[in-house]
Amino acid sequence: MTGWHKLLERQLRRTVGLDALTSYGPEFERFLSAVNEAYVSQDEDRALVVRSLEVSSWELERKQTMLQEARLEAEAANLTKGAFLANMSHEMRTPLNAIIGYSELLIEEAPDLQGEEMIPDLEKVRAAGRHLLGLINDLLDLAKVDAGKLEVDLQPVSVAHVLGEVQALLRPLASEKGNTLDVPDIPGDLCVMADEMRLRQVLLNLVGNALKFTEQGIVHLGVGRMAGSERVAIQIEDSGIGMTPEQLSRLFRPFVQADSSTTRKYGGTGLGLVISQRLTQLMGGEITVTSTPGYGSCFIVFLPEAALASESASGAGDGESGMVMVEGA
Amino acid sequence: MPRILIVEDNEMNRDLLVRRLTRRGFEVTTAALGREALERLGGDRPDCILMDLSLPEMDGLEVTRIIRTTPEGGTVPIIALTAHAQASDRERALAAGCDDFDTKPIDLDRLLEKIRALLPADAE
Repeated sequence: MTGWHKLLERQLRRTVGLDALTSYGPEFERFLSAVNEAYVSQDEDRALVVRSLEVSSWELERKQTMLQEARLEAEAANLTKGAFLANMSHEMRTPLNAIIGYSELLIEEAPDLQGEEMIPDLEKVRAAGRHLLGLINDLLDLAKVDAGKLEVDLQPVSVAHVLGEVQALLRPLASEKGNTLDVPDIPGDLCVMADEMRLRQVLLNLVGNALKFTEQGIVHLGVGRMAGSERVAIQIEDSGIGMTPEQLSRLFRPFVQADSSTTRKYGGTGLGLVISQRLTQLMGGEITVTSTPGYGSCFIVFLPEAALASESASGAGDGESGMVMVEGA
Repeated sequence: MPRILIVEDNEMNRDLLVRRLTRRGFEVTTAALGREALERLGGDRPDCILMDLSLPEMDGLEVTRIIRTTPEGGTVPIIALTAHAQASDRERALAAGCDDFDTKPIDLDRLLEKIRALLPADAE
């Protein structure tokens, strides 16, 4: 008999009385054994549950440790990847600069050496070198943004000045595709807080894309102050091929162009928009996009207006809601 | 003829700059190390110095700081050249005593504009 069996018997004898219990005889003994058996089996079940709980919690702990280790490994791997990309980009740029530099030098020297017929080929070498350099720069930028190592130097930047540069740089691309690049007169005192070099990069990318995906059409730039929010909107609208909602949803993800066939037709890494969006966010702004397939796309870059121009800005947006656009002709 | 001293350790970059600037009528001398640049300063008497910032031994910023303490290098225009295009690099270069800053790969027209803007009037 187990200890519990004896305890129960003693308790019953005391409360019910010995004689009364003895009169039940063997039946009482059977009752006690049944109770005891039930108790023992319940005790075993309980032990089983406790043991399996212990095993589960140990397994959980082990899995948590493994996850923790995996997370640390992944973070270390990401840092290594970032450092690798940064180093490789730098190492690749050195020989590439020699390729671009010497092809430029040879283009200059060719006429003196009676080698004019080599110039078109040399120009191809130079163009391919510049293209490769652009890709490497994109990769480096993305790696830096990912590692949180990209610095922006925020200063008041004249929108008219930067758009003027972008327009001058992209005029050849516009005429190559038969496009009109329509730029409005922008007030010279309209300034945004931005890193000038990075803003130029973002706008070159967006306007360059608009021209690239439009043929015999119009790329229209608009600039306006957002009433009440102290933000400036720079709008790039094209009459190009446009995008479906599915394509739009993939737009700001690395290495994904809206459609993989566009990579073959239009070139590019699919990195430009990702970098542009992240650069704009670093400068305290954002890029939004709307598009209709077959009709064109409209990208808007929002950036904080520089306080410098706020005095003259107050007249333009007062009492109006929404965007005050400074339209071109 | 304006005299330009190029301080650059990479042989190909140096060669490219020498040949392209010579074609455009500059008188070009070179130094591969900062120490060499300091030695040449008195004899060459350059009208402008193009200073690579990532030189071995003594970097371009340090060379610039030393040049600024010498009698012949106190006011000579110095343009820093670097492959790193960070805003902070520019600030560091200007703080060290450089007059301007340009990034590699060299855009020759842009560099020429910067050189011409800094050349003394009698150097042309």
